[in-house]
Amino acid sequence: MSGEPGAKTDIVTCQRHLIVCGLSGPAQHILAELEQYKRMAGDGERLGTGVISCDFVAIDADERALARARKQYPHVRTIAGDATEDEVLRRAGVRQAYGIFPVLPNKKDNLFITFTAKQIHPEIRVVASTTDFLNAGRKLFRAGAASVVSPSFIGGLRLVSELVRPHATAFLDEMLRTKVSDVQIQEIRLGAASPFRGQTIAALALPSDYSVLAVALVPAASEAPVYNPPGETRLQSGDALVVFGKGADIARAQSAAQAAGPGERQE
Amino acid sequence: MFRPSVTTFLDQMLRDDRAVMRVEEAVLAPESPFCGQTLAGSALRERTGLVIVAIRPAGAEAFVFCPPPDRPLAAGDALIVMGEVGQILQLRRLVNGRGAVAERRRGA
Repeated sequence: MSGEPGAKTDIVTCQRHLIVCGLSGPAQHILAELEQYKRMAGDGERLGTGVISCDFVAIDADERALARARKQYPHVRTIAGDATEDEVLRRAGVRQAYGIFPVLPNKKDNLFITFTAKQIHPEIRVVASTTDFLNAGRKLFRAGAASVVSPSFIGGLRLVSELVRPHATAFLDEMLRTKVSDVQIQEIRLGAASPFRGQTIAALALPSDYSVLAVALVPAASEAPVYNPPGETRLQSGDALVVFGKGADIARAQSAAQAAGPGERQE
Repeated sequence: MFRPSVTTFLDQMLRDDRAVMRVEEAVLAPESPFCGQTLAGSALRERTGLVIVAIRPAGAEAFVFCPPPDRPLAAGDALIVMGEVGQILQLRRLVNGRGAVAERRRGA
């Protein structure tokens, strides 16, 4: 029952956390990424649509490897034991966890963990790794995995991408990473009193006035987005513009899209 | 997981069956007639229907996100675009010198 964060605890009491099974291979990269999320997140901040906590737990049978992991990833909580055992998964808080990564080198272990975790907690999101996408992958889905990733398959695609489209690859990476530039994709919704109503997209001059680009339009009347909407498209209330830009720039465009309050009419 | 709006949009866009959207790149050839023009002057947006979401100058690590309309284009600029495969192929033809000439002739 030690209170210090990252200390070894025998029973994890977190809620909506993430569990990493194993410490080798992809697990190291998962832990590094989760450590970064945790470090960047403010107190109590959550991941995804706000339903995932930034807390994460690693399970491994090797106590010394766990000690090394705690040194490397100060926020990780660790459970010593075999992740294929019910009791070990329970100690890792599988019952109240949001998700689990069965990423052990042995595909049978991953299948077993997937099955066990879903049995204990049917709502848990399982994302498993496998080297054998066709055969073991199908079984993992059957056992309840939400997604199955073959690191060597992804790696192969990535190698091709790096060769044929290095810039687009780097661009997408930067968008999905947290650390670098604060570029985002967000919606601008047009309320009934929005000054954007009745204007064309071109007339809003989003690129020059706000450094923001309209990448899609979700018309009020439909769910289906129109990608790269033409500049002459006229906007109506209830439309949502999907825009790309820096967080602060998007916020400026969003407030301009709101009806001006009584105090700020003359601008 | 950390940036749901980005991930969700990109996922949806890349999986949409109706439109085959891609994030791709085209590098400006030194002989491209667009070198020295501004982004707005090149009218690449209007000609192709693509959104140019970023520019990575030759040799640079960093991207210029949401390049402004008055951004000058230079040889070696990598244009990062979102659009359909046909539009991207058209952009590639436009930014490598010869294609641009052919395109203009056809337009003239």
